[in-house]
Amino acid sequence: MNEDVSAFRRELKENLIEWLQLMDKTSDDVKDEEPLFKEGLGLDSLDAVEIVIMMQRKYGIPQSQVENKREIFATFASLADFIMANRTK
Amino acid sequence: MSRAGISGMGIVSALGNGVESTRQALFSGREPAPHLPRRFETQLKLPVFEIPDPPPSGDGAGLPVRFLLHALDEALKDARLVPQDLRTRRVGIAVGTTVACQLDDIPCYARIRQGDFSDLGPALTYTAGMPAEYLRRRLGTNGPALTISNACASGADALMVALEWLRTGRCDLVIAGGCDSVSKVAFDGFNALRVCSAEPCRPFDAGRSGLNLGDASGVLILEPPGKAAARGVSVTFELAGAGKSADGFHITQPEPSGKELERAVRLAVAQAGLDCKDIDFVNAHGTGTLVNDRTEGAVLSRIFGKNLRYQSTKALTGHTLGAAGAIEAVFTCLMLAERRAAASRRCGDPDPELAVPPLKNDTDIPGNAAVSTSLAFGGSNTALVFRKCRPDAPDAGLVPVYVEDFSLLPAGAPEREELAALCRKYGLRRPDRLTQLALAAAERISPLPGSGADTALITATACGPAATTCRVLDDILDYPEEEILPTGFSHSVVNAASSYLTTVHGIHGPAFALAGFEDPFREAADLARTLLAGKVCRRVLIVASDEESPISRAVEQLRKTGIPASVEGACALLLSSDPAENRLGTLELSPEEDASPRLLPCGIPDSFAKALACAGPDSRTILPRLQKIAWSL
Repeated sequence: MNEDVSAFRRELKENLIEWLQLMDKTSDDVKDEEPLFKEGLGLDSLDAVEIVIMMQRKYGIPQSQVENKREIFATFASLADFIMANRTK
Repeated sequence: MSRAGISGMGIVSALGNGVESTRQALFSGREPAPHLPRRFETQLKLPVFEIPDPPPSGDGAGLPVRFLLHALDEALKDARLVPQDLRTRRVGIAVGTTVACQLDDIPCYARIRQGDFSDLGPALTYTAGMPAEYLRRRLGTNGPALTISNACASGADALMVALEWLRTGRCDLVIAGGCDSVSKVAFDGFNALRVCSAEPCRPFDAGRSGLNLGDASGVLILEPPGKAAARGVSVTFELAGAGKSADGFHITQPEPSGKELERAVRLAVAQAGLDCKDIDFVNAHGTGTLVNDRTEGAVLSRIFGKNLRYQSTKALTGHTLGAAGAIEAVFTCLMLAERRAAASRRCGDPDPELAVPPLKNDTDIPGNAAVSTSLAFGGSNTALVFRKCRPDAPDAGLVPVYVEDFSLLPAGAPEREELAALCRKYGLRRPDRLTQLALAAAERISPLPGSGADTALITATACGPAATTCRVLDDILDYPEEEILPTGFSHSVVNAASSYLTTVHGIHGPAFALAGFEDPFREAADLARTLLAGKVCRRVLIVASDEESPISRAVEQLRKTGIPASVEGACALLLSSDPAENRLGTLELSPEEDASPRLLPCGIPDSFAKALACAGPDSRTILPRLQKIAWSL
């Protein structure tokens, strides 16, 4: 994995923990290839909405670009790759 | 015991202005159409059931309170009461609303957050407009006044409190109801939770896609039928039973099996002295969301079997939140009086997963008894039973109340470490600050409550989750083009702390979230005494908390006008009706007219004295409230 990717993933893990107020988690608990929802990190449908809003506010990705694209949210890695490729800020 | 006879009703909603026009509309086959919001700007294309603004109150009351005054006026006339009559009786006031202590005036908040306190007019409307306290001042009554903010069950909960006040002889007459209006905060919030429909809502229909919000208020006058008869007023129906339970499962999602809703309905039917086969029909909560209707439909089928008859009236009014339980009580009584259960509207194609579909047509019924259910955010279930009125019997009367334990949170607590430990212990994700304070105060209670259905919870607050409300308002102001954060909104409801407390402590008894600027802690203790006397529960945990925020600082400014404010702090009190649990003494409430604070009596246990000593100046507004409560130790 190149350095840019791993640096961005570290940053995104910290942002996710802060944004979703995962008070009992650290960035080490967020595994790249584990599912974000239910098993894995255990996020729920409200978290999904929060992540979409975070993508818009922090990374400039409009909501229309992520609607009905469940595959983006499959794992932390898929989310990170999508944001990295589509961010406008 | 005294019956809660219904001697007057008043209502305003999208279905009709007044009881008579509502009765006609209910059976007319006409369906009022929702429209896009007119009171505020929004880009969301979500229809609502707004109704025309009522006339100004003359003293700056906000919109929900003006709807309430409108319905109250009709209810008092219907009961043939004038305000002077109310001053000679022990009158209780219970009002359900969701906006109790939430500032929803966005321009006013924009000034407050910049520290500009030059124009606090709208904030004054908000502090003076806590509905129950407002009515008590306006009517000059002399009895308990509870503003209940249990999200969408608030109006039904106000009626349950009315029933208990009358059964136990606490009050001679009760004004009970609910009020809410469609605000931008609720509109944006419900949208963020993804539960709003872009079309007129279709409760129980296979193609339902969510709810529509609506304006409304409903008021009932309840009194023992003997007392009404003495005034020459005849009573046909009584509120005969109320069942209330907490899922203790999740802050917004209902517990999937609906077992606690089932328990609430069975409790209400049993308290009314009836059997399930005696129930003519059920006016369901039926919001039109996927999850609510499926769970509720399954539970009702389980209880009443294939003879179940039910409808939702929300296709006619929208979901009117804190008013819903009150207006649906009126609908239920109107259907009983007409001996006709209305069809469930806009349900052309019932969800095939429902074991019994809702009523397709208006249906003749005996007109003896019916149930109305209300389900809320945070897994709060309420069922009310209305039946033909029976004669009065002797009151249940009050019982001694014993103090098991008491805690006062030290200033600055909970600190980060304690908080992280609490989150780990209970597997919590994101409790808001008010909840953190409440959890930490409850944690200092010993023994920790957790006796399931026998324990009730009452939370009391002045400003509620004000810091969270500020974050929601910040979101609306700073990102006008975007959606607001759903978790912010779901934690800005006044009963968020109550949901967490019931969940982590396994409390499945009734949970009431009270809001008040005058003396919510005292009102909570008074309600606890009534619940214990009525044998609704055996134990009551009271948790009072308030948090620091720009809103509470603005309220502090308003203290100059004589309105009390709150600062950050929390305390908890565990009460019991069982003499074996008497560890700290008997609770005695000072008379209401005795406003002078009392000193705490001697004989305070060490742990309490230490808590007091380290509580510091931040608890200064909580202490006087506690000091009004004397223990006869």
